[in-house]
Amino acid sequence: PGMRLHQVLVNAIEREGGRVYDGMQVESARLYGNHIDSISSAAAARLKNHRAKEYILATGGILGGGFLAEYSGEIREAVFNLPIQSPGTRLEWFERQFLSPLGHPVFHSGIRANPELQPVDEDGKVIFENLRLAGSALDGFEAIRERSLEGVALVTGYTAGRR
Amino acid sequence: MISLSEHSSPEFSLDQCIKCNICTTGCPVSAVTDLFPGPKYEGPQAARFREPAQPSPDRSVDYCSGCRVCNMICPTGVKIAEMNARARAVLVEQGKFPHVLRLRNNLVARAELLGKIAHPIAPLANAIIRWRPARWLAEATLGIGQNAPFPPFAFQSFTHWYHKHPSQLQSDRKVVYFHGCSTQYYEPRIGKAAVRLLEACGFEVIVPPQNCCGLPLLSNGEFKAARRYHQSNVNHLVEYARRGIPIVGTSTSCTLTLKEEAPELLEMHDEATELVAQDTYDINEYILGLLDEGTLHLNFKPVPLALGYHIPCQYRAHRLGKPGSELLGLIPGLKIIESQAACCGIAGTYGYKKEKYDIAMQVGKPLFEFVTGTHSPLIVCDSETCRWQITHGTGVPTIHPVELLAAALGLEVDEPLDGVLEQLPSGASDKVNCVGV
Repeated sequence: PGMRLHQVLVNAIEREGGRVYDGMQVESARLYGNHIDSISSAAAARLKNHRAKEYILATGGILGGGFLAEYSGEIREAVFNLPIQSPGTRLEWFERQFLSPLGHPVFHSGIRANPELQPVDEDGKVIFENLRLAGSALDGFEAIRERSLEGVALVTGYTAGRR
Repeated sequence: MISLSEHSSPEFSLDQCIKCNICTTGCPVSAVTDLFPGPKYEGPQAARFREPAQPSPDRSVDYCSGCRVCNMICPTGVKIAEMNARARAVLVEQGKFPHVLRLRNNLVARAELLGKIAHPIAPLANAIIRWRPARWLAEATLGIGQNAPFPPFAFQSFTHWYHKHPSQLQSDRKVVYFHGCSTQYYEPRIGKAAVRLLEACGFEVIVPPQNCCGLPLLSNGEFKAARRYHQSNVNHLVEYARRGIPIVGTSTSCTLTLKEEAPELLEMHDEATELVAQDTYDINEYILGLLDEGTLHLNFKPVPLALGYHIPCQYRAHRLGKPGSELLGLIPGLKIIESQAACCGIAGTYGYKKEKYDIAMQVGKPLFEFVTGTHSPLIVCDSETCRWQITHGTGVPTIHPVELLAAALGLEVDEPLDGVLEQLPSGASDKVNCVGV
């Protein structure tokens, strides 16, 4: 069923004239103030630029690989270095009990966003006006404990797309 | 996803494997045969058991075709294809291949050598290739598939034409053309189209001494020989890289080898190798880059054809998206129907081997069906062995995108495209329409 869904989505995108590429990991971006000019993905022997008016970050947080964790416990967002709300050190990542009803703090990690799904800083100011966030990259929910992973992904993905 | 240091060996990435099996769902070889258990098994899983000093636990890794689809779809960036290739090289080094097979592999893997020997006697060589008893004997003694699609040798090699061709342009804007063995000995028309195209855009095309990129040797685990070949190319090409003169190629596999496969598999990370890698471009990639920059303007005339286009698995491995489709999409009137097939099956020297020929044909079956379904007079494909496999599996002639680009600029093109174009209702002028800024 996962593969069927994937194919349905890819076909829909391609029917509308979009292109879906496998294996091209986005590594960096060119920025002008709070505007993203282009992003760069890893290609053989170089980076490949992609320019667009609007961008959606759906890199999946910790589980998806969009967040990278250092040995210190610091978690950073892999492409734009967006600020992530996360527990401080690795000691604070987990509860003692494996199946703790409180869940584990580290899985709550995410980037704060406004109702438009744009990333915001601690004052609520928009960090990049042409970027939206979807799915597990977002702060404010805990997918494993809530069983909300795909639900959040669907709703926020749809919303980000509509905006 | 863990970001590893640029130069750690590919085997380190095995820890990133989350056993999701997405690689196995995409592998075209394990889909058609049980002789290959799949990328996850062969790559990250088996790698844990491959100790350097001990014999390898399995030989099925030789059935990996090196198409790299697994790499493309792995969500955590495990370098499966590289691991398999290196494991095969260890098997070769440990003497696990019977002598006959190793001889056979070396024969089919040395395209340049074969070319050098056969080219002077091309008519005779071509007759022998087509003579069924000779092919039967080759299969019985050496294991070279008797039905495998060996193309005919050209009578005039590419470099011979290049050194004599009339319009050698001198210009400040220079490019180096890396022709590769297939253009040199089998399809010089593609090199001609590329040179005409680049010269029409105002570039002086330099064809320096160069040799086989060594990919067939890499694919057969002959790393020592491959290293010599690559080092030789680096020595020939690095001065152009240092001078900022781009190295452009029409063979997707050759350019990928120069960019990435040779440095990765052989762990060659010295400055000269890296310079050459960073300076190497696929021709579609290069021209698109110039168009994006605005340093080149092209006025294509219409080419009213509907043609099937197969993107080779090794072209996707460049991770540039679909530069061929993008560039061909600029030609007015040209309808490109992209194949969804992951791999044509030939996988370089793979499909030429008796024990793998059937697997290769089965892997290619969906592609052959697609081709027949398009009713296309020609199929477009960037890789030489794919072209030969597609023609072998369907009877449809094949061309490289650069030939269409040349035609769309009114430049001279050869068969088979020439014949197809002649049958079109006559149209626009034959003027060259290419402006360099």
